[in-house]
Amino acid sequence: MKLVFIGLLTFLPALSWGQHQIRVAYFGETITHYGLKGAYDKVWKSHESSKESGATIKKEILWGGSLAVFRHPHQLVGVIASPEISLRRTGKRGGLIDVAFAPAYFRYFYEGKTYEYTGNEFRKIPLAGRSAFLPTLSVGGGRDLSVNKQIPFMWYYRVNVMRQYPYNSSSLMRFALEAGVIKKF
Amino acid sequence: MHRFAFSFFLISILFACQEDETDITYDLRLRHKGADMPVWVRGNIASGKMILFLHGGPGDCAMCYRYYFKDIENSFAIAYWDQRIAGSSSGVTDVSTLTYAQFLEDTELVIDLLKAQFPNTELYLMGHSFGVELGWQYLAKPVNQAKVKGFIAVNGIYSSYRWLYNMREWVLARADERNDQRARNFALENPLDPETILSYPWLTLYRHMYRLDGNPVSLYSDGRFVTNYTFFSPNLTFAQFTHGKHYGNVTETDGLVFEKGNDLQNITIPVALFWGEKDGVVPVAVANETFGLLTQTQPELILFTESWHEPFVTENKKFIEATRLFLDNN
Repeated sequence: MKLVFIGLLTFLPALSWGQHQIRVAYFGETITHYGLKGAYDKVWKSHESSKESGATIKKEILWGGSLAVFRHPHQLVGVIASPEISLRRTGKRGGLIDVAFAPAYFRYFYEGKTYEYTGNEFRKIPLAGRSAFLPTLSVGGGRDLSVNKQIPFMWYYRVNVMRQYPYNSSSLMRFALEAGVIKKF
Repeated sequence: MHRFAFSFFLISILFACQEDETDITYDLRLRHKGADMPVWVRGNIASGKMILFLHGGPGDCAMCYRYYFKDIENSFAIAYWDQRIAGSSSGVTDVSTLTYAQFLEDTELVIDLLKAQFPNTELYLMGHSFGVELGWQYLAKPVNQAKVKGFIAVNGIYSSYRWLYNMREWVLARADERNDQRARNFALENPLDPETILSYPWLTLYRHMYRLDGNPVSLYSDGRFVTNYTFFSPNLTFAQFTHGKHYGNVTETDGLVFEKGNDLQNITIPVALFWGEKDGVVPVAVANETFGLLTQTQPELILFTESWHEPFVTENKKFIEATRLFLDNN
């Protein structure tokens, strides 16, 4: 149910037209636990201001959804689905700074074989794993190549700080590096 | 700034592509009473001998120590089991399950699981610190002794009372040596009585012991260990730091009334005691007492004269050789 709800939120932005963007990135949980992330963002609000020098500063609020898959070898394969809201500032030379929040759903599957004792034997559990809530705060930067070079791409990176609930009797801090490209439409 | 970030990203990718050190032969996991406990089996399965490492704490980790046990894996297999709410153990686990009885039940199940998965492999236990308590608990049942070939006990206790008694003696002796009045006065003002052990201020004694260099070794001062632990192992990086707060109850209850002195006299399987001689956490006097109580077997006592609580860290080569010898001879 949670997955359906978050999935609907995730894909809701695609239902309306207007300026939108697609992100594809390397997603490294603890940097080296490799994975991929895809995301769709829509500009919700945008504000441009010009300085006396003629330079333009753009501030945007974007919302969208993302899906990341990563592998922590010999531990788990994780899937993270989430709606996201981002604040982005694009400077006069195209430099980006953005901050994002994502109330994510995290589903993970253990690698290897998981067994449960039934009272007289060990039963193998297929696709053993758990679900968790993973609120995520991201801070990052990048460059909009369309500002000076007329290339309709941006490159970006983000550091994601995540908290997994529940984890054993409390919660678990995780972090991830995300880096990739954004294509504007 | 952006150039720096981009370079960092590229370096990260390179590291991610590098062959890691987690080429584990078998990844197992036991789900029991809310806990999903990993049991990573590595090393030389063909030897027909496997060591189950019972980590310390409670709340320490097993796989994190693989960094120091890798050379043993050339000769034998090692099973690294992270106990419930410890190491990289996961799940949704109630703190109320952190009892000595539950730890014993988990140990029995892990051993049965390994026996089921590797029926032709002889199993040995190696306990470190709290893991030694688990080992003695397990072996206290004669039926369990038939399932394992031997036990290596590393700087661990058989009795909470004798542990604290010897730690207090250690603190007094060291305080005299260093002319540390504060520690000396505390130990003298707080004699130990088995009847009131549950209210004994052992944590303060423990802190004095640490202050007197009872165990100055910190794994986290070794950069290579930290890098391996964080980026190239199956360990969950921050998990280790979330567990500590959950153990208050078990260490203040079961942990202070643990007593297996009488049971040691019924142990007949081969036992080796590996001890860091300079340890203040579990002083060598406990090793000598343990040795004396093992009357139905012929225990070996191997002292690591330049080590404290983790002899496999400080005298790694000697530790590995001693382990090899014990398994070869038994």
